[in-house]
Amino acid sequence: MAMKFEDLVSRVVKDPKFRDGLKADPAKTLDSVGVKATPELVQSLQSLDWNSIHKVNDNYRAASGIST
Amino acid sequence: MTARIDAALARMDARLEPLPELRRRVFAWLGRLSPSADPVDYFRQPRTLPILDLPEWVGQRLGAGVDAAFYDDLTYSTIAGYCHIRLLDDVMDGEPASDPTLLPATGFFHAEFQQTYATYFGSQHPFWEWFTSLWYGTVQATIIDAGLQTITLRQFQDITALKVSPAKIPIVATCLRHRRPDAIPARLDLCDRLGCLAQMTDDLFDWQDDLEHSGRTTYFLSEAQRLRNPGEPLAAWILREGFAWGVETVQSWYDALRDDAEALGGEGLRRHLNEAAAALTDRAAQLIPGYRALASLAGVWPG
Repeated sequence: MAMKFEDLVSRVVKDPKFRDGLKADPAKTLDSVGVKATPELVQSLQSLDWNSIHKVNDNYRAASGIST
Repeated sequence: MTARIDAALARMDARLEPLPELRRRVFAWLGRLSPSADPVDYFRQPRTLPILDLPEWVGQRLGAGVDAAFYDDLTYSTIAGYCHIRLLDDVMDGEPASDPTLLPATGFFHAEFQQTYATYFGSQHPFWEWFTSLWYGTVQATIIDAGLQTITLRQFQDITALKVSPAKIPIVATCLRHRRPDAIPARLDLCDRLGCLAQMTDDLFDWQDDLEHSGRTTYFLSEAQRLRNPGEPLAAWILREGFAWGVETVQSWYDALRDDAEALGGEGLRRHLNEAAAALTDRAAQLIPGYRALASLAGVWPG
């Protein structure tokens, strides 16, 4: 079953390894979860403001009591 | 308030002394809830719903004199009542810190919560009518909440009013202690509005967890369903504009409540509202840029 957009958001926010994989190698990481890496999607991931997403991740971890 | 919380937990510890196994497990559970593993710190956390401070703020604004022993007792009772509800809620929600084998402790917590008031109000006092109806309100809220598929603003306000009804008991006690039954309705309305602020703030920041648990319905997620574009994933609307909409909504509630805060809860409540609103703004500002960045992926996400 294809990964839904909600699942992508959840993985990015809650799973720093997945987030870092999308940042470093979008095509390979998308392939690992069965998502077709279209050129538009890869380009969008490469141009994403990852620093702002790190803050979302930090906030989630702090709110969940997960130590860094 | 810190000294009152310290005293209340020391009192709970002493009351549990004849029950060493229960004592050990109750404090282990409270330690798991606490950010520092010290149970005292769990109740010291700044919260949107100031259930421990509010009775004294209300009492001071009613013009009553210093009544330290009364507020010490209210703090102890409220902590016991909070433990009762939190223990049951966590077990029902399957929270990681929950412990179903600790459920017998609810009997202890409820007895401690209720017994405190017997010191101040005789068995025929009108306080007990209030006590019963407010205590049963939370039971009603749990049953109604579980059966709803979507929640309107009016339903959200009504359910929240029932959910916070146990926190109204020390407020009623404060008004009656100072022989001001006429002051009760406006202070209970204040509790409802503070409860809505607390619940909506929780729902805003917990939207992902709520979305992942298909049985959980919140007002915020219901609005997301109503306001998203046709075919747009729920998360995409929340990331794109819904979270910011929710923050603006809560801020507008703070603004409206500030106008009445001074008259009802004095300087303490006014300061609390200012600090809580500022904390909301700061936390949202940390999240919104990242949310908008993620939202940009929705249009190119396959499916």
